[in-house]
Amino acid sequence: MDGRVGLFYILNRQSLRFAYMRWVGANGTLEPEIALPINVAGAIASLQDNGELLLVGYHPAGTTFVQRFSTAGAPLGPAHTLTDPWVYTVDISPDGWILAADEDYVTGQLRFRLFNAEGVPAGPWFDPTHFDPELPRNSFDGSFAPVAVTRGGAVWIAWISLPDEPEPAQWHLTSLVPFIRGDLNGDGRFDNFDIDPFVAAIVAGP
Amino acid sequence: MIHRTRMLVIVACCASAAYAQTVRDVYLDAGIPMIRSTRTMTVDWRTDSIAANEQRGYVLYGLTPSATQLYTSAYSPALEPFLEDSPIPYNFTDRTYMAIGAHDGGAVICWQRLSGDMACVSIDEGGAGVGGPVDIARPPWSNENPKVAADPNGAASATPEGRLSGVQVVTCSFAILRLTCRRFRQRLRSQLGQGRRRSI
Repeated sequence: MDGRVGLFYILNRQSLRFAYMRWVGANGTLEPEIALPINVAGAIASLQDNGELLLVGYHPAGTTFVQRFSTAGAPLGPAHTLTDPWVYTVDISPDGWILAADEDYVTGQLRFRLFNAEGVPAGPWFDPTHFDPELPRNSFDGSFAPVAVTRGGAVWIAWISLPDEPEPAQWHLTSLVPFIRGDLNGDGRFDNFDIDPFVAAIVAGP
Repeated sequence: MIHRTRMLVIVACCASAAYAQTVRDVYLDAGIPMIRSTRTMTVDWRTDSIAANEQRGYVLYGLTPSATQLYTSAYSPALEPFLEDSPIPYNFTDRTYMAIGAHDGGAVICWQRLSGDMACVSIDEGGAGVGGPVDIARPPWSNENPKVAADPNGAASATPEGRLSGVQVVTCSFAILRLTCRRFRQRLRSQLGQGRRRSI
C-alpha cells in the first residue's frame, strides 16, 4: 500500500444520497472528492487485498447489493443483490467475505449470513448466539451492531440478551473461527497446546 | 490505606471472574465448520465496534462508556483477554455524533463537529492518536450520524445514519422517499422493542 487512507461517505443531494470517496495521503493531504456512479441509502466499502474497492450498499428500493469498484471510483462489474429486504448491518473482510447481520423481522432474533464478493451465500442464515429460555431474545445493544468478519470468514459478534439481563448488564462476545486441521483445543490455532486434548483423548481410551 | 486498596483489587478480581466465562464448541450452521467461542462479561460501557485480525489474533473494541470517552479492549481468537479497558486519550468534546470503525492496526473515529463538518482521526491498537483530526466533508450533514467502518488495508467508510426528525416524518407521505417511510416504521418498531433496524 502507498500509505494513503481511503474515506468513503454518503452525502445528501436534494433528497437523494450519493456515494463519494476521497483519499488522505500519508502526510495528511486531502485529495479531491470522487463521486461513485450509484445512488444509495447507505453503504460501506472495503479496500481489498487485490487493490479493488468492494462496496456493499443499501439500494433505495430496499435491497442490499455488492459491487466492485476501482480506487478511482469506476465500476468493475455489475451489482449483485445480497438480501431483500435490507439487513441491519454488514461487514467486509479484505479477502472478500461479506457478513450480513440482521434481526428477524418478526421475532427480533439475531441472524447472520456469509457471502463471497460476488454475492453468493456460503450457507444458510444462522444464529450462533446461545439461546437462553429464560432470556428469549438475543439482540444488538441500542443503535450499534458490533460485528466483524476477517480473512477466511471468521466472524465476531457482540450481543446482549433481552428483555432482562441480570444487573449489572452482561455482554456476550462470540467468535466463529474456521476450523483448522489439527486444532484440537479449538482456539483457532494449530500449535503445541493442541497436544493436551490429544493426550486426554488417548488416556480416555475408546 | 494499602489494606483498603488490596481489598478493592480483590473485589474487582472476584466480580470479574464471576461474570467472565468462555464456552467453546464446534459450530456447523454457517456453511463452514467453525470453532465457536462465546465469552460472557460484565461491563459498564457499550460496545461500538469490533475488529478482528486473523493473523495476530486479537479483537479490538471501540467503546463508548460516555459521550466523550472511548475505551479499547483486545482478546485472542479463543476470547482470552490480553488488553482490557484501555482509555483512548483523545478529546472528543467538539462533536455532536460519533462513530468508530476498527481495523487491524487500530481504528478510525469520525464525528460531526459542532460546525457541521465531519472530521476523522486515526488511533493505533493501544488507543494512542495517530496524527491530528482531518476534516473530511462539510454539510449537508444536518441531523445525520456518521457510521464508520475501516479495514486492514487502510480504507475507511463513513456513512450518515439518518435520524428521524419532524421534517422527515412529514416527507413520509411522499412516495419518492420510501426510504424515509420505511425508516419511520422501523423506528416505531424499534421503540416497541421488536423492530428491524439498519445501521449503515
